[in-house]
Amino acid sequence: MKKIFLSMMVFGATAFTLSAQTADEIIEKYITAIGGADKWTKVQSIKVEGQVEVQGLAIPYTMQGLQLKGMRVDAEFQGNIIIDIVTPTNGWSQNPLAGKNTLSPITEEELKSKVDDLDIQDAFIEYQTKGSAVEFLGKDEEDGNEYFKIKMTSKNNNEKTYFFDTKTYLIYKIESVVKQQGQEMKTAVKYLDYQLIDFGIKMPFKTDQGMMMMVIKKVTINPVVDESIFIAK
Amino acid sequence: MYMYRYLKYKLSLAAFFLVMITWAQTAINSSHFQVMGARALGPSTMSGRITSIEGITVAGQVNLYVGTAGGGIWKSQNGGQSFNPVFDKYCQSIGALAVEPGNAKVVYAGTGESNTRNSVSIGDGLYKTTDGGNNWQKMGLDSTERISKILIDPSDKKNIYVAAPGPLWKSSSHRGLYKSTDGGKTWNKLLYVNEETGCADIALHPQKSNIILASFWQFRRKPYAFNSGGPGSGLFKSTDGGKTWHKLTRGLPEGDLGRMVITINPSQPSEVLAIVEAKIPGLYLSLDEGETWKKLAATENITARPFYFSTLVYDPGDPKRVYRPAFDFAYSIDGGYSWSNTTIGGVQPHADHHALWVNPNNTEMMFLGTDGGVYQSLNKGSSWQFLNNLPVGQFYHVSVDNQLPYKIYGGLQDNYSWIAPNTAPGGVSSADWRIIGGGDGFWVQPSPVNPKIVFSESQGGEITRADLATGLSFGIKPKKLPGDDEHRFNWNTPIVTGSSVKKGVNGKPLYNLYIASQYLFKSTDDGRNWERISPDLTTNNKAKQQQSESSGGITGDNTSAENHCTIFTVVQHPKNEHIIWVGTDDGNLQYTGDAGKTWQNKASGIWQTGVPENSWISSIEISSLNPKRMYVTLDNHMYGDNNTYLVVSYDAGNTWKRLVSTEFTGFAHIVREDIVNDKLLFLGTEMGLFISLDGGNQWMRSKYQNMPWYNLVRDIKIQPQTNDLVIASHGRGIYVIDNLQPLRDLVKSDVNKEAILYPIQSFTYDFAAQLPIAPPNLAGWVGENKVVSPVIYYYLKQRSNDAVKIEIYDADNKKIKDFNGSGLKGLNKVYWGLNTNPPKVALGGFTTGSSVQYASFISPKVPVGKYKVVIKADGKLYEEFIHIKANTEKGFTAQSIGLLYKQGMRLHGLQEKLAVLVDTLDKTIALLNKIEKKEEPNKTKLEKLTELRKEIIEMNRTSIFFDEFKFRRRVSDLYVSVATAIEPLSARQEKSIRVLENEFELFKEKAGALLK
Repeated sequence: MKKIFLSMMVFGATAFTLSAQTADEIIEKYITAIGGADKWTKVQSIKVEGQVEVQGLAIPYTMQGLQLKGMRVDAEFQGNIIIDIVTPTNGWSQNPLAGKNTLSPITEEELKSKVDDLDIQDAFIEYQTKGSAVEFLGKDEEDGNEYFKIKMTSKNNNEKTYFFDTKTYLIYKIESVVKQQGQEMKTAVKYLDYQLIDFGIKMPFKTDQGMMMMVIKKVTINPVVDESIFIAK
Repeated sequence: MYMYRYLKYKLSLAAFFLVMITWAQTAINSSHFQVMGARALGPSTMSGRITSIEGITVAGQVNLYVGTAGGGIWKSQNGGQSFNPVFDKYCQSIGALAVEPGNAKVVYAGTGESNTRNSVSIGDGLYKTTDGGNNWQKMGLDSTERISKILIDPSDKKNIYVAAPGPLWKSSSHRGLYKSTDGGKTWNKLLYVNEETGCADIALHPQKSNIILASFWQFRRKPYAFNSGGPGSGLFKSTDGGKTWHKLTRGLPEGDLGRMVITINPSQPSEVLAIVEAKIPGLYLSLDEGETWKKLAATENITARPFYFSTLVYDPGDPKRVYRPAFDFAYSIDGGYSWSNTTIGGVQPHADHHALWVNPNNTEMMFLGTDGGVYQSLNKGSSWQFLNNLPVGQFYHVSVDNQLPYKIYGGLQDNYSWIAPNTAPGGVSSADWRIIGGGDGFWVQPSPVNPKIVFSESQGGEITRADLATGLSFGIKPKKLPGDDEHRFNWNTPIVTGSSVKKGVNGKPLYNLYIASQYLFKSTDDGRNWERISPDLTTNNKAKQQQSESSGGITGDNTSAENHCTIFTVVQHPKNEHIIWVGTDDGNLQYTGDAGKTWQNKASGIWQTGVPENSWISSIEISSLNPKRMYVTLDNHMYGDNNTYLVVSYDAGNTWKRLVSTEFTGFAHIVREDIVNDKLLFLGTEMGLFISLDGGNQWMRSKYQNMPWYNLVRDIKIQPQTNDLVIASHGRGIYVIDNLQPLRDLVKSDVNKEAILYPIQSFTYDFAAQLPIAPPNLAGWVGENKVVSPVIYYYLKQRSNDAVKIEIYDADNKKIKDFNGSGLKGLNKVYWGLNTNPPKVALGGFTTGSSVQYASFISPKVPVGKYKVVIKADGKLYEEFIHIKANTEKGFTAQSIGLLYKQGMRLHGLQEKLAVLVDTLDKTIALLNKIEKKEEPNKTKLEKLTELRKEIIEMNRTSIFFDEFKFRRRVSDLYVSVATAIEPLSARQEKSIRVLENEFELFKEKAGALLK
């Protein structure tokens, strides 16, 4: 038998350049699409008024945020007061509908998953300075359209996968993982109805969470927000 | 949130469509009718072939990745107690998996199974995830077609080795041992022998990772033969990370070798075990890293069927303990010198094993992958339990009957023939599936005239007639009679029924039952007598009929899987029993117009379209709408050609046209034309379900119907009463898409309109059956139930940013119901639960979780009649009507429904009157509370009003099982009970409403007196 030793049939294999370069090109176009970094870095506080729509019901809510300092959501449904507070070191929540009748501290795990939300500027604005890393995951299809996927890992080690529209570069979908009892569950939100607000930035006015839709009615940029609202009383 | 549990109706998503003219301009895809999602019915009780199991412990939880033969990859994060599919957008045939050591997030998946049985699927390369399976990327090796092992170098996790046996049905240079040094971005071929020989197995020295052992295997299948082994096969070793190799022969058998499995002892890596397929096969042990070998004694189970069983695993914690999962599960406690396959207690694992993962942190715990799912052992394999949660069964065919609810029948690869209802109380569970025939299952056909008679078969035409009335089964395979050649039945022999105009002597209707070898047989008496109605309809090429002499190669293997020159497809014309079409596995397409007296081969017309000659005729579809139109799918993959072949004839098979699409992937199994709209076509291939809305000119892949994108679709039926599309997948069990009507409507629509509200099908008052429910502990995978409710479909040209409002009006044009619909581009689907608007309930106090809260969501169901449905989308109104009809058969007469509604509305009215009264009390109390200095009579008034309010409203909950129980709660309890009832209160029971109404009047009087 002929010796088959052993030609290194080296195939110049297909290159998959998952370079940060590609991710950064997409991110750059995205930031331009939502109004540019200049404007976004000036966002230091925010107040959002809107409603949560579930099965034909509308539950009004207000969200107030102070860049990297605190975030608070207040809502009321049929006399039930729902509150959510997050700061860099603590968090509290109250939701009688979920059996939490008083404002009580959230777990460390919950806090970790929410603490990235304290960045009320877009997560991609100066993401490197904020300690986040990105990875390009190629193209994918969702709901019949094509998207670029970028995975972002925040400095708090939260991972989210963002789906960027290949034409508008706006974010359509964000997938993240929620940990429960050591097991991970994939959750997804979809961003709809982008609107340009007075401040010159673009935001999605609807967030589709599957069972419910968060609908923004009014956004105020840089309102005065009293830091004391971020302490449970 | 808990409150939504009560909501009766479900809002669903949706999409959009188009008319034929606008195809070209409009990008159409299956997302536009995603509201038509399939129900996955499983079963998990039999599961299917498992090809790979890998595990890793994360935060104390055993995570498992399970690769399957045709059902993708499933992940568990709780040691196998539940699984989720994580690979539904990609090729579903999995050959190998590998988890990066120490990092559960990084997983490599090699597609294309390498247990190279006749029915094995194909892969399309290697994939990688870096986030635990949420997102995957293709990493190349696209043409390898099958991957048997992936190893990650523990000393440098960027070094990846991939063993690719390569294509089964053709010569190919895309085989061998591949290596990546950059985590899969680029690949080098380390070792390659020739176009017929691929890499079957690899083993990596756990400490000296430059030492690699690789087994190479020469193998080939043809439609009529399998050959394992040849001069290309051999065992090779490299000591420099794969740069150079030498062949290992010392102590190994001489002559041609076949498939070899190798494993290095992780606790003592100089020791290597190999099972070598040779003329005299054997188990071999090396004590010097593979250089020299000695033969050990081995049982038949150790060396059996090498092409199918290639797993050999050392216990990671015990150098003397070795596992050989094969036909049975065997283990050795002396390093492979002796073997046992005894199990004690538990269940006997399904035969035919392909994967084993031993938890390195707890070696008592093991997971075994078999032809019938995953088994878990907690005592090193002494006993096993079955994981009833993986619905990865491989159906070949599916049939339906006309019962209510209709039953689904089908046969599973290596796993019997089955029957299940398409919908069942609590969902279709494992306990709803029943076995009605043994062996590998293929066709199962109910008698069209007697649902108690069912025909099924095992491989090679072993047909039985089951009588479900008596529970007895009869073998009825046609026997060889004078004048017959030896019968050649396909592995997957067609059993087909057809209607007949003939009547039996007792005047009862007859039907035709067909089975076919190389001859077509017909019976009109449930298979007691068979009439041969054809000559040999195949090419009868003797060169393709040598299975008994040569099948298998080095190791003989003749299971009927390679039987060839057989009939594979039989179709009787839906309207003329004299017309029968027959397709053979060697390419003949035979036609008779006189019930078998004369036959004509029409295949050459198909070959003229460019389809290769002698391609296997996989399905024939005769249009039920136009007797001259027919479709044929052809499958040539057994000659190494995976193209999708679909042809149509508009002149009853005389001339043919090929239908093509860039969307197509995978060889074709089945084509089905809709029974109502001839533009609507369905094509099932080895890699997807494809849909055409224009009679076959353009096709789209089904991606958004709740099935894997590359689903292995073997058979498709349309159930005529329900218009359900029933799909047999070869890897994910049975799927049902309920009621094709909206798709038919969409096909006919002018999709340039802003919005279309489709005619609403009238609804016969009914509810989904609630009982009896399968015992939850036996349920396993539970398929969703058919929704019994009026459905409103509408089309939106663009996604609506504002909620779509839906209003329902009664016969007096009074609005009775408002709700929101979805606003998606394309088809939208909304259920109306027959309810009106819920009442306003008295506010205040404690309501969470009580009937008071529930009462504010629910409402009485409307009486029979005609209702107007108005849709408001983007400021425009669209109107349709719906008829709600009585269902006297089930006792839902117009009168009883009307009475139930009346009773419900009385209590609805009482709720609202109470709400007004409480509101008045609240306002007065608030006013009085504002008075700073309370003097008489205000002081007493306030006290009395507050007291009165406390008699009506529950203020506190003492515990979860102890609520306050006040008047509001009593009204709500009765209201909820009537609003959710399906029959009215009797005249006597109805007096309970009067009791509450009277009490209310007393409260009202009291309040009135105080408020004066």
